[in-house]
Amino acid sequence: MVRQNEFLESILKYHQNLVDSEFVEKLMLRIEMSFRIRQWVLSICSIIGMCFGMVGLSRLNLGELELMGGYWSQFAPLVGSSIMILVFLFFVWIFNEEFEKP
Amino acid sequence: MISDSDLIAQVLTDSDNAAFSSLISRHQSTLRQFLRRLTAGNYDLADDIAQDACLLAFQKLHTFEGRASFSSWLRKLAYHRFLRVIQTGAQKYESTCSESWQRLESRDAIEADIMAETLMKHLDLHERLVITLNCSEGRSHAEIVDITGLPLGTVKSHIARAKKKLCDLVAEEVQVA
Repeated sequence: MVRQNEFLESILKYHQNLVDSEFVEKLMLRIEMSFRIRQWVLSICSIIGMCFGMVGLSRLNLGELELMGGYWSQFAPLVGSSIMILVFLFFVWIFNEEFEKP
Repeated sequence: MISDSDLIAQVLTDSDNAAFSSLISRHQSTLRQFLRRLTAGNYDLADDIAQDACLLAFQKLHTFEGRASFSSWLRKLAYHRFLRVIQTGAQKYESTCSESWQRLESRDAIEADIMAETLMKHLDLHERLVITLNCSEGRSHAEIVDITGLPLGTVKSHIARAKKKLCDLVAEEVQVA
């Protein structure tokens, strides 16, 4: 039994030491890329959020913008749907990036 | 030499990517070998899964509690990633292998690894997993239970079955020779 184990260990052990700097370099590039993508997505979402905040504030303060209400309402469903899709994609991305169970 | 835990601390406290690079350089060889055995010699796929596992390790490093070694934790991530790839059905691993393995007598390290990978084709997935962790990496049953999430009894029976299959294969080869 002991000899059998020793024999199996001798044929199954890892015989090579895989020295491959390319593997590590590729990994570090992927890490850098994912960090950049994350920064981009967060920046874009922040800008969109700020834009909507500003629009909200301006609608509170400036009466003239009320005139644009009729024009805006034509596009409201389209814009609303697009925003919903963007928000959904954002949450999908966030959950895949950060909260994926190992 | 800096310990794994010190390197992990550097990554977490200083966001030191070079420390993570050193950590991976230290473990990449055995991780890739482990996946080569699991995939029974599919090198491209093994490397892809290893990359994904390392990337996930970077993202999840703050959740590493240090109860097991970093290499065990990395194996766990790689194994779960591997299972996920199987579940997509994109790859076939449960190969019913009818081809006989050829023993390479005057073998160097590369041929010896190829031979071991070919042998893996004769085992099912769980057997490959536990025999690699046990015989190739010398991990204890408790470690294997921690990595795979399989019950202890199941781990032991898979190991015993895999050993029997491999010994029978070798014996057959000797008889033919």
